[in-house]
Amino acid sequence: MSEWHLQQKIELSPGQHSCAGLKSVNEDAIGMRIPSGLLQTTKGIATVIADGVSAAEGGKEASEIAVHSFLADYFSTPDTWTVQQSAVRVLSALNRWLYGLGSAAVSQERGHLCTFSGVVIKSRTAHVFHVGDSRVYLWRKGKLEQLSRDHCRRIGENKSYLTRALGLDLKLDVDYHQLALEDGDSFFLSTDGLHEFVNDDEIAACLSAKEYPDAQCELLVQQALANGSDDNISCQWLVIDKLPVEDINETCARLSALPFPPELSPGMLIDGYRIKKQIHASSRSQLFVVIDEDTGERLCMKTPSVNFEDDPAYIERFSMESWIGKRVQSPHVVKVVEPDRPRSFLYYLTEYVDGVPLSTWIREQHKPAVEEAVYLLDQIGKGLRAFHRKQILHQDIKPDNIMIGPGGVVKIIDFGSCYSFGIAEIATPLKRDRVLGTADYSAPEHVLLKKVGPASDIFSLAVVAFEMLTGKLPFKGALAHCRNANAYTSTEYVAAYHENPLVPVWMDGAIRKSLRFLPERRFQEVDELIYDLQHPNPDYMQREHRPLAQRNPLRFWQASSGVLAVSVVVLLYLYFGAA
Amino acid sequence: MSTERINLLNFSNPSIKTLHVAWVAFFISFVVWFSHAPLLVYMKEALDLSSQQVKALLILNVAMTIPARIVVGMLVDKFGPRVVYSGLLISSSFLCWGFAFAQNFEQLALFRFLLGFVGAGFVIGIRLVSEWFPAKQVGLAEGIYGGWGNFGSAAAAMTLPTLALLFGGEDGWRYALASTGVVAFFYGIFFYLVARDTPKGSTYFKPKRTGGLEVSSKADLYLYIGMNIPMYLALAVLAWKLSPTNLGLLSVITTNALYGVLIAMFLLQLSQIWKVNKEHLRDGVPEIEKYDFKQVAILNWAYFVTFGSELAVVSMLPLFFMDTFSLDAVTAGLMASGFAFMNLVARPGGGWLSDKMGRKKTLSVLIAGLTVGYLVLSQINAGWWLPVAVVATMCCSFFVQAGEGAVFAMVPLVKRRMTGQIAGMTGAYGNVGAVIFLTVLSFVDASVFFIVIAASAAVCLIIVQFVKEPEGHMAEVLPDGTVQLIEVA
Repeated sequence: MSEWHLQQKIELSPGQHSCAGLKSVNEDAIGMRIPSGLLQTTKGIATVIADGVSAAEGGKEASEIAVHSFLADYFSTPDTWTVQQSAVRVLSALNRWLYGLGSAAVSQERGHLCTFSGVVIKSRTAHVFHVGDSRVYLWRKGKLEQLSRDHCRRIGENKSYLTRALGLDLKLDVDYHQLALEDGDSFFLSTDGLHEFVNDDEIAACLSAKEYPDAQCELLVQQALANGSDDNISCQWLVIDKLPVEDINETCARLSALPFPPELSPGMLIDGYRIKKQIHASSRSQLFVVIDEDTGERLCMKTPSVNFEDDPAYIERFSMESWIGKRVQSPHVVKVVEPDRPRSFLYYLTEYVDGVPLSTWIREQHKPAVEEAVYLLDQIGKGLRAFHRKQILHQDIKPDNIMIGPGGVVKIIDFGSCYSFGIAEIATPLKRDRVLGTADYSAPEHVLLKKVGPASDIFSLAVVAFEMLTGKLPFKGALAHCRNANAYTSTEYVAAYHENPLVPVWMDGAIRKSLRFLPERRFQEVDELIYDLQHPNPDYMQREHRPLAQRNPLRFWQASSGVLAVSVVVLLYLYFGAA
Repeated sequence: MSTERINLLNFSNPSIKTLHVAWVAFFISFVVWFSHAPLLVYMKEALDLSSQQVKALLILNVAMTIPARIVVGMLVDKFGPRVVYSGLLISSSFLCWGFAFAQNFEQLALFRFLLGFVGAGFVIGIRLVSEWFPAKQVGLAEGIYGGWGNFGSAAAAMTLPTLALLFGGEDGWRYALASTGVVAFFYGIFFYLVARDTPKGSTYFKPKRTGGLEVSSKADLYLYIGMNIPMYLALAVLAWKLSPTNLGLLSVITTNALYGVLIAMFLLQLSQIWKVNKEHLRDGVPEIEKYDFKQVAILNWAYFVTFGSELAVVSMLPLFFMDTFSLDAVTAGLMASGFAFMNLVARPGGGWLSDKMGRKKTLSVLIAGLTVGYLVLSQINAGWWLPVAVVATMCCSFFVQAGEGAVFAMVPLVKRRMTGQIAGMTGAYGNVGAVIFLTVLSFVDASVFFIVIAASAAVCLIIVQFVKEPEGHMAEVLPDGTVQLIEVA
């Protein structure tokens, strides 16, 4: 399938060992998961260690749950998610679960508590997650470096308390950092039963011996026992022999495995799909209506433009379109159709949306109906939300990419500009293109090549909302010509209610907030914008109608201080002058 | 295979509208660029110019275009085709008026030299058209743009002498020239109002690195550097032509300063070429990005003899007809316009032939044809019956312009990703050819001039034999409509 060009394999030697030691039960839990194939490419390799807190009753259960569930759930998160989002979401769910189990116990410290340390290796980057006092070390070129910070506080001689643990509190702070890997790097994870009794030099000495990782782990556990460890003892040792090589020739060969289709015209048959007509052609791609000869189903076929035949970055983007499209599920996003037969050319199929683009709707509205616009915007918002939930940005929200189908059902089409944060984590030798979007609708950070995020899509959605409500582009259409920050900040916003008096002030306020220059000052979630388009928010009251203290606090306090100063002077005069 | 036809009458289609707006702009820029050719005889009389000075004007006209292409290309990158094209047309109108009302040879020379800028308009329109048309139509669209635009020189040759007569009087030619400036001025404004850089609402991606061409091997790098030398050489030849040793339009100091500037520019370009290719060549060029620079070089030389000779011949033909057959300016212009007239069909036709009959074969046949054509032209003398001479020029020009079409049909097949840069370099070679041929003309008579062109075409014919037929997949459509791939060696 299309995504195979990304396939990467990490060569590694894993080892681990855990024993109860002098205790009767082993409350430590350890686990690794080294998936093969695509899963390794998209989610990576995970190794985790957890130490059930002995003072707690459910320590053993907690650590087992943590390790098992993490290894299962992490790999079930959407493959478009970043490692950080996947792991943090899984860990916070785990934390709530353990907290729930624990709150049934008498006191929280005696509930289901455990430490958690994990390393996920994806492509050429390691992601470290850590809570509690188990440890993660990096072993690089004969040097041992502790990556994690112990979350515990020592009180008195032998007493130490965990300051952070899974299941301790509803709110969980996970330490996260990532580092770029080199061939030969390895990670050593241990619980306090080991590193409290075997110091770093001894660990380093053992690791530098050329042994199998399993054997080395066992040796270290034995040494901890010999040094008098009275706790459960566990450690993991993951050696990365060879990171995936970024070979451009191989990547390109995989990408160009399927040839570009030739010029297509109605009547031609490709893999059993009969070309009916061309709906759209640009300098980047062509779009056709096709009929599946087997089922009679009407579909859309998108084909790449021959202009980019030798542009690997373009081919990658095109191949990823259907990959991304398949992962966004929503009634308001066009469906990518998986063909049931091998493809002999590069193309992909989507469902056929019978309807008009939103641009036509906007053109045909003589007096834009506010309620209808909000009804449509609500659906667009739901579609866009489906992208963002999968950590994908659409990056090209505009009326031409929004179809209004039968029954007023809105669908977002075109995945040609999408950005997947999870895919971006996979190292590639290709120089990927950066999307600048469509001039009138792009957020400033696209054009200025700054960091983009969901707020960038929200900006574009707000431009669309403005256009739907007024039939005009915001900022008097000036966005299309802005090329630098100065140009953006000197644009003049004309409120939507000036263009269309039927638009309420608060609705304009929500749009205006989404059109701010700085992404952090906009809404951060699509739903917030949609909610504020449907519910009057007093924050957006017209400036003139608000009290001065809110409208201009500085002036308010200046004025009050001025009045006070005058009255002090008057009083002083009266007091001394009278005397 | 049937393709989506371009319906040129469908003005409501924004792409078609843009194509028309663009080719007319190019047409007008060509009228302005070659407005002097049919009127030279008046200038010669009015300002008492020597033949050498007239020939110098012809060279000056095409020289500036070589560097101007690069400058205009960069301006288009920055400001977009709409602003640059209208700016070019409007500013050229002032230069045109300057030229029209020049009082001596120095002023004429200066304004003609600066008018070379308007010849770079080609680049802008190519960029515009490629934004507006999908891949399957862009070849034809650019053929129409280029061919119909080039026709402007024929239009100038046909109408300007008559116009000069209509204005009448001693200064009729001045008003005729100035009127082309007026047209350019107003069309420049019209262009700004009507043209749009891109189809409304098209999605943009950050353009890839531009500047120097990326090559695939050390050997190609040397060839690329070598291929840049003739462009500077052409300008150096012009400087030498104008130096005290020859025409004496420039002082010794100015001439030497110009040489210095040229050397500095060459070194600057060398450093840029190196910058672009340094890392690229060190890290190894991936298979998919490899291409043979030889192909570019061969197309450059093919354009050198085709477009280069066309520009040269279009400049000198009216005067040639007048002198040889003792015609008046109007008739001479009309007869000479036959050469550029063929552009309407020959240029798109060359592309079409190339698509149908194979690239190398078409190019070889056409260049062989123009070699013979120019040999025939070299035989024209006062003893010929005029209609035969005109038919001969038209036959020759068919091969020349079809050859141009065939060259540009191959340009996108060398390396799609770099089509723009390769097209730019090829276009510049056309102007190099014009400068060289016109310089030759300043030393010899017309007959030898045609023989020199024929000889270079013969050399080019040999060079073209080294071109590799672009490979690729070809699709075959079975009777039931099934599309199948067949490998083409």
